[in-house]
Amino acid sequence: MKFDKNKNEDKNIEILKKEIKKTNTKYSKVLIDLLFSPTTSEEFRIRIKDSISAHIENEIKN
Amino acid sequence: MKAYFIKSIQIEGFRGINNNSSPLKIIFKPNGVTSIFGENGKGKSSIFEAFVFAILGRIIRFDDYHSDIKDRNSIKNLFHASDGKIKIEFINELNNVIEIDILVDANGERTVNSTSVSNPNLFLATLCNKLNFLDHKSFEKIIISSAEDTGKLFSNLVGFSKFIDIKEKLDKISRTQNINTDFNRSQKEKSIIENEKKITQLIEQIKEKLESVDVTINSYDKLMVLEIVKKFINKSYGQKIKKVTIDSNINFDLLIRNKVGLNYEADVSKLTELRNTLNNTLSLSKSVKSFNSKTVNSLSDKLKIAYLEIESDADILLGKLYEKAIDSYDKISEVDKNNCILCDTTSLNKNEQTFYDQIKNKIKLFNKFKSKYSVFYNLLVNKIEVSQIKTIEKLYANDDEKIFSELKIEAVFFSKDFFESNNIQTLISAYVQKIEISKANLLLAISELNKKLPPKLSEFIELNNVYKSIFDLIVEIDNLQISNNRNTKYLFELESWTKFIGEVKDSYENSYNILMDEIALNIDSDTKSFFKDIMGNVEITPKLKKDNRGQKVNILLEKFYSNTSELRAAPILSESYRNALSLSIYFASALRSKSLGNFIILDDITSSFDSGHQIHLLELIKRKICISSTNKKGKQIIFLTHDGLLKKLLNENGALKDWQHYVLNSNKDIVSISPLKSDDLKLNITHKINSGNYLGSDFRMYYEFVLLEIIEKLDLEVPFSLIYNNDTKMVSKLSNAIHEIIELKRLSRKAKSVFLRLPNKSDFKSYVQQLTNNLSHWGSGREISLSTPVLNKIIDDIDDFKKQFQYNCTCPAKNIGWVYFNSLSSPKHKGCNCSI
Repeated sequence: MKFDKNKNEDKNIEILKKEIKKTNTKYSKVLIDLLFSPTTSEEFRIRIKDSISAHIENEIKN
Repeated sequence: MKAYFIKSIQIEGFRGINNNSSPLKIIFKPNGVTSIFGENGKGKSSIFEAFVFAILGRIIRFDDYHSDIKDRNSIKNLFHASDGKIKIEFINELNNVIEIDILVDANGERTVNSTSVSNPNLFLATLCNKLNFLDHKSFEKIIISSAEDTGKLFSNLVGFSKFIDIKEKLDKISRTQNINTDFNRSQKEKSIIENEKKITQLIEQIKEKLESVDVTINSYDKLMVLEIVKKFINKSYGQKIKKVTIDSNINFDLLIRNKVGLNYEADVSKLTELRNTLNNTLSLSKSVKSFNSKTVNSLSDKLKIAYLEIESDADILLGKLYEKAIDSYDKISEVDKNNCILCDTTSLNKNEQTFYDQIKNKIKLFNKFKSKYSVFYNLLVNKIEVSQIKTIEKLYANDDEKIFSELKIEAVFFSKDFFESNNIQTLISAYVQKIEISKANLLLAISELNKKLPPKLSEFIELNNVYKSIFDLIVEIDNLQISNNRNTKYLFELESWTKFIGEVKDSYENSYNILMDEIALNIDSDTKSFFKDIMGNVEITPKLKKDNRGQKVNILLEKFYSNTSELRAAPILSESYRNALSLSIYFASALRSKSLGNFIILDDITSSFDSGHQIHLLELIKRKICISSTNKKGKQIIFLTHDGLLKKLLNENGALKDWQHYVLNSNKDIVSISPLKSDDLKLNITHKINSGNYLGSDFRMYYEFVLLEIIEKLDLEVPFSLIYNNDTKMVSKLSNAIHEIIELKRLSRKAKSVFLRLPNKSDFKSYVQQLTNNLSHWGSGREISLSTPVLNKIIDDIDDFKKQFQYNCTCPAKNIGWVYFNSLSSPKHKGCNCSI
């Protein structure tokens, strides 16, 4: 991944999103959905905790 | 997205600007500098705060105010009847204009409206941040911030503030400690290990149980052991269990009840109860025996040691009383201890100590005893608990015998012969004896009960209980294994998530670091250059050093005179150098800002500099920071100052093409501005001449201003480097430049009628010679002794020269008098019918 200092931030963030999408793991979507929403880092941590916990529990059940 | 500049602002009823029904309107140069000079109290800071409040909704200086004095009622002008109003026009490179109207109510609350954009709040929120505004207090903080904050400042300035948020978010969720806390990772790992240990122990128990029924297994296999249990059930109860799983929920109690019949049930139950009681009794017997004579002697010794330091039991009691007495005495601070009877030694013949000191010694001894006693007490309590003495007393001792269950630390301290006087050893022996009797009785009862039950049945009950235990152990192992499997799967998934997020974070941080390294390197290079521009050729070179990882940026000096090892800049530099460095860093960063608001509003940033460095700073802004035809990456600059030292320079700059200069005036409730014209300057100088307060430099300034005004008004293509020059030969350089342009145009046969009006080569030379001679009086530094008429004549000569580039407009509709030619090619102004 390479950010471009001559591009504005939003375009560079698109680069980051694409890179995360490229990893194509079951967690890519969860991360993209939450990472770029306007929350504080602490709120984000709680939401990630809830989402990933639910995700793992679901995986175990199946 | 196109960058936005500030086109104009209108202010009414805000802070120090009342201007009821007559808002102060300022029009700015989008592509250049707009400077506003205002003496103290003229409303300059109110203009700065109007911008900040309108755009950010804040008053920056309130950030440092204590909450008690953040009086938002003062944001609206106190004498303005209705709500305060601020109107800002923004213009972008495509000449689209966005109008934003702000109302300020009496509580200092802001309401934003616009007819140009649907969501004006969003427009303002995304336009810029507080770093588009710089006052002297803000920039002073740049150099004294932490390395982390400096890094954040860079990210913010260059428009990568969201990147910091992302970094913080990724940091938070990938930190090992947070993962452990959020997903209970450590507990799950610990639980797996503990369960494994427990399973091993349970398997051993199963093996032992099986061996007791003559079955041997080498390793534990659940199905195999279940098969053994199943065989026992099939054989003993004739019940076939088809599905051999722990879900079979085998009820051994029910099976045996059905088998032995109701008559035996009570006896079987009683037998089980007696066996349990016997087990408990055996355990108590073992415990009480551990409280042997060795233990008693050891505790007895400890107690005696605690008593060695004191003389008698009475001392203990006295010590307690003294302690309280001294405590009360010391609390009365007013007591004069020299005159106190307690402190007087004459009343005591025994020794030199005062009564007060003697008491203190007693207390010291008492405290020492208490400490040793405490050790003894803790040991005793521990032994009582381990030996289950309290349980034994509860079950077997009568009230007179109970000693240990009554023990309390608060109770009167045991005497030193505690163990002897209570004959503890005899007591313990009595307990042992009682337990032995109890044991014998239980064994007898069990034996009698067993005799009542048929022998085979009795054995069968034992056998049933063994298989029941085995089955219970299998269930317990299975539950532990289920829990472990679940936790293992959870940890596996968690590991997969941790790996994923770690990779994303590393990848992001690497890219972010590379980006910020590039930016920091560029900012460092510009900072060095700007610092040199402001401070001149000093032997000090700053350096911005970014940490290899992370966002920390350290502000250092790579050269400080003869010292070439890196030093932290803030502690070593003087105030003006610190400020020069802060401004250099700020400008170097701000030029890289991707913020939509392509402007910087500067309030009083020159205060800490002397006049020379102020001029250098202004030159830097003109040449490198301000947007212009030759510096397209620059920013629109709005420059507010009260600095009298800059007045002359700003007046001169006001005549430049890329520079608009205003002077703030205030009259009671009205603040107004005026662009500075040569006529204003002349009026000022004439007044000075007549009052005898003129300076030699006033004439030069006026002449320079007129020359610059001619270049500006006629749009003469004078080399840029010449205009942005401030040396002492400026007058001759400018006049030569004007002359050469005119002659060049004349020769290129682009002559228009206006050339007939302009001075020819020799006239021009003559004018310039005359004016230069006049000014040379002060250029040579000689004292002047010219009369007022002569001085006024010098001004008139400059005006005559000026008129060579003007015409007298007499159009009935306009009738504006002497005005500059519009240009060399099109001298008359639009709609003018005058003949030139």
